[in-house]
Amino acid sequence: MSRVSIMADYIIRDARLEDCGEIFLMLKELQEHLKDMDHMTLEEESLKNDGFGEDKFFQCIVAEQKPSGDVKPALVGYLLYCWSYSTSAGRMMVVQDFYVRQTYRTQGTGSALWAHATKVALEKGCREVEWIVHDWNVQAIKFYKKLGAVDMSKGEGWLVYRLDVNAMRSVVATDTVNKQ
Amino acid sequence: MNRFPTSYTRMADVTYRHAEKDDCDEIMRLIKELAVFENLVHQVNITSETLKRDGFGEEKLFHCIVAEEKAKSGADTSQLIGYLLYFWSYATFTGRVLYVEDLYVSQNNRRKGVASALWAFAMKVAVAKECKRMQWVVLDWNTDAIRFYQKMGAVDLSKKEGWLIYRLNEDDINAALTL
Repeated sequence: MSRVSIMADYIIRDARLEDCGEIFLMLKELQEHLKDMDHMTLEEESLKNDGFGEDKFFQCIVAEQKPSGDVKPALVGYLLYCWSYSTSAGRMMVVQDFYVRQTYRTQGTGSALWAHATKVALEKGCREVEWIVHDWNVQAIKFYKKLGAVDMSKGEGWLVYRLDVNAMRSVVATDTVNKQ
Repeated sequence: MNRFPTSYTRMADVTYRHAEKDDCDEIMRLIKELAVFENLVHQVNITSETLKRDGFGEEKLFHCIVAEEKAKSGADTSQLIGYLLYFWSYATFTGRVLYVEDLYVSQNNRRKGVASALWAFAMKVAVAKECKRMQWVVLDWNTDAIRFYQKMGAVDLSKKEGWLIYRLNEDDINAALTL
């Protein structure tokens, strides 16, 4: 089933397997915009397997131009999210990626993507939507504040921690307790 | 270089396993203890029933690993002394992520390697699922936890990459929809 929200010259809908090529291109544009702080190792095949396979690691909604003649409508933005869990609040939505192509900004596309996502969140019984943003990304922060979002890092002092795959393998290799 | 603490006394009577539905009451007890520790008791809005529905129903929103201490005598029952709650997530530049939501060991069982063992169990699960990363958050005043994470080679991304955590709660979501 495809949920469709209509606004302006775009529609907002759930992503489909065949969208992966265009989503992948936008993902690379986002990586450039974020100044390559994360090194891109994901391949298009992984996107297809991980979002549309038996185990779904993420969900995605896209903004697509309204069809015009015979031209295949282009995707102009996407919002990729995961279902997560908070032992204080239950099911949560975590927005992983939010991106609108350069030439389509300040036209309400971003707000439309967020409105669609937050509607889905409420329908699924979520009490919270959460995400992270770079502290230098002033444009994004302004957008999020306008939505009414709160900076939890400041409010509650949260720090984001990460262990990469090499460190993980190293720990597993030297673990003795779970080898019993 | 591995700096994961392996020089601890193994607790012989503790087993580490995937949680089962019947563990939910005990897990809820530990969740409340963790909330007290984090000064976030006012934020606990779930019950044992919620855990059963969300972790052991058709759609599993989380997974849980528990540390169980065997009963010391015939009269006692075994009890849970720690848990690690996680779910699958995604990093779009890299791929699958195991996201740790909660890690907790009860007060009188600390410094016995329980947290390390729970973490190692989770990492094995992550590697088996071909995860590229494990990720989590920690409160900036929780120096014990921070030290534990740094010892295993984890990186503070807030410092290194400048990440801030943003949140929209239920009221804000409803308000945002009317924009």
